[in-house]
Order: sequence, then structure tokens, then C-alpha cells
Amino acid sequence: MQKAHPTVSVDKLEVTYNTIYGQVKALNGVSLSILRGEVYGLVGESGCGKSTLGLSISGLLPTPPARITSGNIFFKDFSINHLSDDDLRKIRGTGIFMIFQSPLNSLNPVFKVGDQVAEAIQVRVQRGNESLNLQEIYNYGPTEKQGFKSAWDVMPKKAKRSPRSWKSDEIMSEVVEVLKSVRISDPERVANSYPHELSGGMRQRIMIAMALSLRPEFLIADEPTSALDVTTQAQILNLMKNLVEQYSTSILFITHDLAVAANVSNRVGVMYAGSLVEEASVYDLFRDPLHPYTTALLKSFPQGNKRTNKLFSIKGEVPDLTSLPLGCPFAPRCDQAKPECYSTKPQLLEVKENHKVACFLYK
Amino acid sequence: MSMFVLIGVTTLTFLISRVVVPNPARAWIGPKPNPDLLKALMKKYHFDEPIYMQYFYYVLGLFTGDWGIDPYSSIPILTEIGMYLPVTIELTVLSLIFSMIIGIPLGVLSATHRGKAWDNLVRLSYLISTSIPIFVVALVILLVLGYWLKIFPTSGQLSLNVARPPTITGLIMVDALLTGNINAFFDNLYHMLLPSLTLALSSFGIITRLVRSSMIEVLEMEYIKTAKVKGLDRNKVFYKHSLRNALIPTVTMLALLTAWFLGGSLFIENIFSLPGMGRYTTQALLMFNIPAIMGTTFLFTLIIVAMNFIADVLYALLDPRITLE
Repeated sequence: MQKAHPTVSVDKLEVTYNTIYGQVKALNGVSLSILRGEVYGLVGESGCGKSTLGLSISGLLPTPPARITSGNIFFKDFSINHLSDDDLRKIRGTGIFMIFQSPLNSLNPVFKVGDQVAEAIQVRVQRGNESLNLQEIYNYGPTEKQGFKSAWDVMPKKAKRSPRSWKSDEIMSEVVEVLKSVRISDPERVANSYPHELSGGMRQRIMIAMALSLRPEFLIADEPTSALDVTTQAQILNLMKNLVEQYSTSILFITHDLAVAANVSNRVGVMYAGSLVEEASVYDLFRDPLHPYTTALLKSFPQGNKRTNKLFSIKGEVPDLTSLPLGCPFAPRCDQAKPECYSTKPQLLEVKENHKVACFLYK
Repeated sequence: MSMFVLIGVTTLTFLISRVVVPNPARAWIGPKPNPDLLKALMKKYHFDEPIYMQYFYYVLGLFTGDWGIDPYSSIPILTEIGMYLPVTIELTVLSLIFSMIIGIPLGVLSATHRGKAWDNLVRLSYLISTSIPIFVVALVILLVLGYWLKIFPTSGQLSLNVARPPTITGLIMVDALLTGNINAFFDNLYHMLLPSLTLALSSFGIITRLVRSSMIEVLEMEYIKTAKVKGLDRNKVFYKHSLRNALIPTVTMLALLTAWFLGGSLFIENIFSLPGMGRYTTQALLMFNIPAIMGTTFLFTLIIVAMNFIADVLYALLDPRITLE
């Protein structure tokens, strides 16, 4: 792993939604970086800003109402948050790809599944069949805003075949191959079906098949298994692990399910009310949680082998994102809160090796 | 379902025509009727029999292809409709094409530039289009393009120096193409341009508004995000993934628009002097030509029912989630 060059890093990102109730601060200075071939699990309650982070990185934030108010997003050391939609499009797909929560809505209902996977293959072929070489393709520095040379411009002439000249049966046979690789037993039939004819788990496999066809360097998985039952969940998670093994894709795995995060991730970040409160390797985080919120979160998770009469729940409520407290956002619900917790916001600091926490208890 | 509509409409037109004009024969024959002639007319049209028998003869006629005889010209109604219908078909089809050509791109433009200047301009245009009555639009267009600028002919189907192609289907444009008479084809199109453009201008707002709202809805769907994040270019995202989905609800407008155009033809064909169903119907209305009125009402109902059916079929073709039973 190259420590100096993360695939994606986010620096003090702030995102605000303009709503009729006022400005909602969905992300309040989040910084994290994800290395090549690493699975970064991002956990937190619903509404804590996990999905907003994913959408920000892929450039799909609905603007308006959302707006990146400050901070930076780097893709392989290049700032991408100021790019136009057309420039971003050149990174999307083979650079950054995203899988969404609801498999019901993430495939276009009027096109056959095979055609939708074929489109992904075409995008990769069009870009010269290799992974993006940013140094070669993008001749611009992080601060300049002159935009990208397209992959098309720097591609060797030989590769500049239009996707149409790629024989369609050539693509279709790759579609069948890739569907086979996501353990679909009758790929020909599935390729010729429409999304509504397939089950949720099947559709999520199709999304993974698209990822496999694109071979992205960075994959954002926004709760990809939350809508699936447990057995299907396990199969999908294994397929995603294959993606990492085969193409050393980095994954930002967004989930509210701690068990899932523990299963797939190398590192885990815990988010609360738009801030990252703790970040550690998966082993450290579940063995030795430091932040009071993480501790409480782990406690409120039902244990499969125990039967308790009442599940633990964190007292109080998630703070109103339109008027965040001055200090630590978790302070009003925290048992160990000190006076300073209410007045200053703790920074995310490394308190142990590879274990960061934003809490005054560990100064 | 469509059966009920047909039964309802025929019964209703029959009843209304008998309530409004209890004995149409009297109206046809003039102020000082010859009693023998009146009696003969009443016998011929069954006006001397009880109303349920009249209804029976009417329905029987609809099924046997005897839609009555025009009391003024003594030509069967069906034959007359055969003479007048082709112009209206041409007008309606051209209007449908034009309103889609204008309406769909404007709807897409408006949705993809939501909240910006283009969007406001388009919304203003369809507000104006739908709020100005059709005959005002027709007269203004006629005045400006026909009389002042003299770019377009103001009436008729063909120029005087262009011979009418032999009648095969009755549709001049189709006949002209079938006989290889390109000149007549373009001359007829040229004459039909203003009337169909008028109809299109007063109705494209319906399409634009629907395309805009369904496109906006579609653009926020998750599968559009998938299409974008796949790295597809702008045109593929907008025109392949979004438009196909956004047009599905628009197809249902087909029947509604046809109804709108048939109603509009009553004005347009009179203003532009076109010998079509609209003019035929208005004349029949003014002269208490009851058989003709009932014939055209039934025909219009049939056409709209048929368009609804076509819309349903198209709907199923466009949206794989819907299957025809």
C-alpha cells in the first residue's frame, strides 16, 4: 500500500443543504483518506451525512439544494470538487463508480439488464481498456481549473475505435462472462430480462457486474446490502471482496449495519451529526472503541447469541442539523461530557497508532 | 370499457337530438310544409314511430352500415363522411406531428435547465399557448403570415394550377406519393401547414408541460444517477436514459390530443376553408341535419376510442413493466 497517495481523500469537507427550515449542515468538516485496495467502512445512524459524503465524492450531490461550502475532495491527488459535470464524467465509471442502496431503483426499468451492463463495458472499452492513468490523462494541477484532457485525446490511435465498431456479439459475450462471474447461473436469460423481472439480490448483483465491467479504481457502496436479506447480503459482500482482490479497487462502504462493516472493512470510520468522530482499523474499533458514541452504538447493537429483555438505546436525540451545538455534537447525549465539550469542538486526533478519535477524554 | 363509452355516447346524442328538435323533418322542409311531403319524410326517417322504435332503427343502422341519409343532398351519411374525413385525418396527423416536434424538445429544454432563463421562457410560452383561444391564434396567424407577409396560402388544399391526384385513399398527400406526384404532395403540405401549425401552437403546451414534469421526475431517479456514475456522456443520460422514461406518460396524451384536434377542426376548417369533418359538422349543426350530426358524433367517438386503444398498446410497447391482457 502506498501510504502517501490515497486513491481518494476528503479534506475538511463541509456540505450544506438549503431547506425551508434553514441551512442544514450535512457534513461539518469531514476529513478521511482511502488507500488503494482498501475497504473503508463508514458507519453511523441515518441522517448523519454518510450518503452525502458518498454523493459528494461522485459529484452527484443534487445542487441545489446541496452545496459544498468548503473543503476539498481529491481523487489520486487531484482536486475534483470544482470540476464541471462534463469533466467529472471523464473520471466517473472507470475512476469512480457508485452502487446505491435501493436495487429496485438503480437500474433503468425500460432497458434490458444486459444492455445496461453492456453500456458499462462500452465506457471502459472507449477509454482504452486500461485503468486511468491520471498523470498522463489530466494535465492540470490541483488548484488550476482548466479542466481535463479527455481520455479520448491521449488514447493511442489504435484504441480509438468507436464502440459501434466493437462487434456487439463481442460485447454481449463479455456481458455473459461478467454475469457469470457474479454467480448468476443462467446469464443469457438474465441479460435478456428487464429489471422488474429480477429479485432485489439479482439486481444488486447486476450493479456489481457493472462495477466489474468498469473496473473502477474507487467504488462507493451506499448501503448496498441494506435492502437485502441476510443470505443474499453475504453473497453480495463476497462479490465486493472479489472486486478488491481482482482490481485492487478501493471501496468506501457506507452502512448502518455494524456487523456488515466489521465483515468487509479494513478500516472503519464512525460518523455522528455530520462529523467523523472515530476512525480505526476494524479490529481496534470493535475491540477497543474510544469515543463514547461508538461505545454506545456498539452497545445498542443486538447480540445474536444473547437474549436481552430490553435493547440499549442512547438517551436523547440526534441534534438538529440546522443549528448544531457549538461544541461536540454528541455532548448533550454523552455520559462523560465535561464543560469544555459544550464550548469547543474536539478535533479528530490520533491517540493510538492508527486510531483517531475526536473526544476530549483522550487528550 | 370502450363499449360502454360507445353505447353511452350514442344513446346520449340520440336523446339530445330528439329533445332539442322533436321533429327535424319540419325544420328541413321549411315554414309552409306540404303535408304529404312532410308525412313522407317523417315516414322515411321513422319520426312517426315511438321513440324506442326510433332508437332501435338508429342502433340497427349503425351496425348494418346504414348511418342515415342526408336530407338535403340525399347522399348517405357514410358516403359524405368518406368525402370529408380525409382532410381532417391529414390535419390531425400533421398537427400531432408538429405539436410533438415543438412540444417534446421544449419540455426537455425546460426540464434540463430547470429554474433558469430557458425554463422560464418555455413556461411562459406554454402558458400563452394554452390560454389563447384557438380561433384567435388561427386568425392572427392567418392575418400575419397569410395576408400581410403573404408567405402562406390562406385557404384550400391545393393551388389552382396544381391538379388533384387521382383518389386512391382520399388523403391527397398519400395519393400524391402513391402516384409519384411530388409537386402535389408539397403543394398540399404547404396548404396544410398553417392550419396544422395553428392547432399545434395551441396544444403543444399540454405536451411540454407533461414532458417537463415527467422529465424532472425521471432526472431525480436513482437509475439516472447510475447512468451518470457509469461515466456515460450527457446525451446518453438525457436522451437515452431519461427521455425514454419521460415519454411514457406523454403517450397517454395521444387520445386527449386527438380529441382536442377534432374539436379544434370545427374552427380551423372553417377559418382556412378546408372541406373536412369540422366544416361538415358545423354546417350540419346549423341546419338541424340530425343524421349527419349523429353520424359525426359517433365517428368522433369511434376515433377517440381507437386512439385510446392505440395509446394503451404503445404504452405497453414502451414500458416493459406493463403487459397487455
